[in-house]
Amino acid sequence: MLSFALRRLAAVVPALLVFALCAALAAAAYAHDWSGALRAALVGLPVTGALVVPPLAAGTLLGALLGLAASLRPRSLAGGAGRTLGALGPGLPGFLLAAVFAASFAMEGRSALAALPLVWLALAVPPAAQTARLAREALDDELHGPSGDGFGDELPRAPGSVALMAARGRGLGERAVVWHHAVPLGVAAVAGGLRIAAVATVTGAVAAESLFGLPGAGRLFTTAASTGNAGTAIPALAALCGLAVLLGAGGAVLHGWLDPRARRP
Amino acid sequence: MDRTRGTAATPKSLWPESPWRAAGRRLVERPSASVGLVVLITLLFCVPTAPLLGNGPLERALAAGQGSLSFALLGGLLGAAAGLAWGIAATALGPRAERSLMGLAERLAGLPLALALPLAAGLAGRGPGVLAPAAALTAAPFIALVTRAELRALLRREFLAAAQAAGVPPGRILRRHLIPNAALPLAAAAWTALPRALAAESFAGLLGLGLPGSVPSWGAALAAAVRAGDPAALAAPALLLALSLWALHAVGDGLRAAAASGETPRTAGGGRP
Repeated sequence: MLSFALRRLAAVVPALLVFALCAALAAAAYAHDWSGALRAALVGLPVTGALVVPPLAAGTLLGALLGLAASLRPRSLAGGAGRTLGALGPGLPGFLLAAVFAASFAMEGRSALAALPLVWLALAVPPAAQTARLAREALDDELHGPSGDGFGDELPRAPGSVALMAARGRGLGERAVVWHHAVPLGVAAVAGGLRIAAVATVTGAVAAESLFGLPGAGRLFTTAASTGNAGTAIPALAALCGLAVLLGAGGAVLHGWLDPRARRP
Repeated sequence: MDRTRGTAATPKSLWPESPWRAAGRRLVERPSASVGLVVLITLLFCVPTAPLLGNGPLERALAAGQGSLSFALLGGLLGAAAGLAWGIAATALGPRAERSLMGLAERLAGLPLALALPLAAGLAGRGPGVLAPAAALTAAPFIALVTRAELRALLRREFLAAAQAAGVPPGRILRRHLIPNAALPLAAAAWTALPRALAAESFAGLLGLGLPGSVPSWGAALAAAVRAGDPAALAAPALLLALSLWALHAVGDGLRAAAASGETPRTAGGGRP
């Protein structure tokens, strides 16, 4: 597992080097103070990271729990919440929620820290919705076979994955089948979608920083782009791309840890 | 060839249902896809007629949808064409080209491509000629990946091997087997470009880097409401944008489910291959 994690993280080093090279070339070509432009992008990156990582982690965890509840206990409150969140998720991108919060709560004159809970909430909803949906669909597929399999409503669904059929065939109880075999596969599917969630959260963070006036790489990018300052905008964009790639690699490591099939080259 | 799954006759009909009709039935049988279709049709009817309805907040937000939805259509069509061409080229040009083209698509899919729109608008201008290719870029890699996967799965199907073994000419295999069977999955893949283009333009408009000020859009309406700190003015465009994104995704999911469940080989015109 450790070698897989190291290999997966090492695989993104060339991409990070390409982003660094692009940032340096753009700053050297277009910025008056190229070292200042690079420094500003790097200084803003931890702020963006602090905006992205907590809601991504919390949203993913909460969404996974709600999605599992939606599949295992569809009539419970948590199950209903998971189904609703998963169904409404595509209509609630992070930038839209950030705009709603920015217009609803006047943040002028307050410190940046006061805006953090709102930003985290806005950015946590999309990954939670995506995760809830992925977890529910993956667990449903594992337990009952894929939905919409073309047999129509008149025939029963397929009896689930081969692994679960084998476990049931060996006499395992339904509880053990669910918790030892089905749930890990459902959670692995969630980890497989982390890369897309990370990208969406980084994009939402750019909007949130601009709307709430937070001093991150996203706001630097927006300000520079709106003034046509390529020497600052491109390094800031490269920093944001690097952050997304790193988070995606972290998601891939988590996926490989949860699902050994994902470790295959 | 098993034709029982996609061609199940309705109880009242003795004739087998055509594969396209079966796919349409499966699409509208999904409640979310049906509601999404109704929402989209309602929006497409209301948005162009909004100026005639009045000048309230909802009517203004509906009118702003003209720019957003038109741009989503333009950017989405461009992105879909680019993604389909990318995926087909990767499948057709051999393993080496496939590895490099799909490796590029995979790498791009892991980047925040929506930021290409504000960057292009800030550095090269805010005309649709600049923004539409940037919006297409946000969707094309994803469509290319799905297109390649669909085509690879299709090329491994037994009925194609059987047609080749039976000596059917390649042109006829393409016309009668490949295109009819690939059309629905590829249409489902291409559909995803629409919500991506709409979201990307709205995101850029919210940052003040979307369509030019003369073209009303939901992103620009959101930005104006946020600047004014007026939640009431924000409600209508936010609701319409959320509804449009949800409806586009719901119809896309329905198309994907209809395509995935139509595992039965289709032939041109629904006839026997």
